[in-house]
Amino acid sequence: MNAAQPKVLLVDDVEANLVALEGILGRMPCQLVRANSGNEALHLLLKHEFAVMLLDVQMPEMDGYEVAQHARDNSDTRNVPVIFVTATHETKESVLRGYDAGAFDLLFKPIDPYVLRSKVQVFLDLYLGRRRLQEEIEAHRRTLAEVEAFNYSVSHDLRAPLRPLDGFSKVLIEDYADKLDDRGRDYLARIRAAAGRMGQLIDDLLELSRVSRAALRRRQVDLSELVKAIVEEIRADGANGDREVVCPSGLTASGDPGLLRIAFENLLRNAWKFTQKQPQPRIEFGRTTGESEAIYFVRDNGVGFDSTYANKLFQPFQRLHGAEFAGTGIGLAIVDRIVHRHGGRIWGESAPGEGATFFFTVPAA
Amino acid sequence: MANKIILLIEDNPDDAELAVRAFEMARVKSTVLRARDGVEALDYLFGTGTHAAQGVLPDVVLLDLKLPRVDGLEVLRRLRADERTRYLPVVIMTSSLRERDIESGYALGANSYVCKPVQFSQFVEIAEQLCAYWLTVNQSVRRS
Repeated sequence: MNAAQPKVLLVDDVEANLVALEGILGRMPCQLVRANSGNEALHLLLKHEFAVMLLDVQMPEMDGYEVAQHARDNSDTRNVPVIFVTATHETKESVLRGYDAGAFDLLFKPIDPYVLRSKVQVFLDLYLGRRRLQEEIEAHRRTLAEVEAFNYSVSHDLRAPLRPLDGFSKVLIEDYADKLDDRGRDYLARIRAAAGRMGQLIDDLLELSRVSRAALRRRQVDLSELVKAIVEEIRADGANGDREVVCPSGLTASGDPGLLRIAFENLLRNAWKFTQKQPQPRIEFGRTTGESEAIYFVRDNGVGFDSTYANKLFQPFQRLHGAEFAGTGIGLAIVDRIVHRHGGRIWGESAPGEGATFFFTVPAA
Repeated sequence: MANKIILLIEDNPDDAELAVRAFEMARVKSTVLRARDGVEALDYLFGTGTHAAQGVLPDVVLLDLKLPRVDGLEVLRRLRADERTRYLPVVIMTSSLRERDIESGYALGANSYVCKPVQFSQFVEIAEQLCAYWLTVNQSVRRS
């Protein structure tokens, strides 16, 4: 935690003025740094971070407005707040010129110490607040990175014992089936099935972890073409059967092509799965009209879900259907993660037996 | 015709046992020699340590990356550094699918990179393909 005091830069060519400012601000919780000229000020601005700069306007060679202009021209020094201190008689013109140069405030001499201290305190508080936020963000980022690395390595290491579990149980069945009775073979089959489920769970966790960590590279993605391609792939794998699919052309969005593909694969495969029992299964992809933002949806006329449990929908491994529909319950959690990484939102609407619609946004960067 | 030889460098006894079984089931028959870590493997290949004067190089080496004592990539580095084993076909067979492991493998001169599947039936298929390719189709430098 950074406990160093915020710094305040005092810029004035007249020594007496600097001493006066130091007298007014001396007891405040900050470190006062002085500069005698514009050039010295600009030099110091590059070397240190300041919570605020008190800038005398009337200086030889470079006046305060020029110093502020130079500071704003440099991306490293652009954001330092400025309080101009000027002796010019208060006229509308001088005030406007002060604000033109990007001043945050303009004080006229003679300075009221109380007023100056209050204004400086505001900037000190702002500075400390921002620094605290930055530290918190950094800490969260580190924790997140650790959690993701842990997720990934646990999933990988958890997988290793599955090889002998699956391998030796298979060998047992192949070589010793005749030495086992029906019950023995049944128990062995259950062991193999459980190992298989564990493998699937780990794969799902790995996928979720990967989707959370993968770099996001934005490009213009033709969502219509993407949906059509995925639908063809699902159809080509004959075991899935066919569905009526409605997909308008030309719907595009800005996003990561790989991650968007994973999201749509999950949504479309879900729609395919839950319309299994429909006599006329129908899946639709589209974009709602008349909204200020583009809201896409994938809709099916399948078995639907109970909206009472809608808040569980996007959590990993939360299933709202029983064993009649295969799956570990990771698909929507993966879609949710991908949509959120794009800065979007996702929600589902449904009633049992009345199909389901999943709405989501993919805001432009 | 002399039997084909596979050198399996694998420290995990379960994985080694299953691998030997899978290769026994392949149509192209071979003798599978096992090294439990990199040191044992290098001793065998260079005829040092407990394996003085072996003289016969395997037709292909199956190399796991996570090995105790000397890790897989270091074994590969030493194989490629020695002219006796510089052109020995090496197939990395490991559980890691991390990009940087794959790249490091190829960068150090591995000929192939295969991921160990969880399901044994898949592993049997992979063993079948590996034997068919590396023991018959692939031409390697004559054994010394």
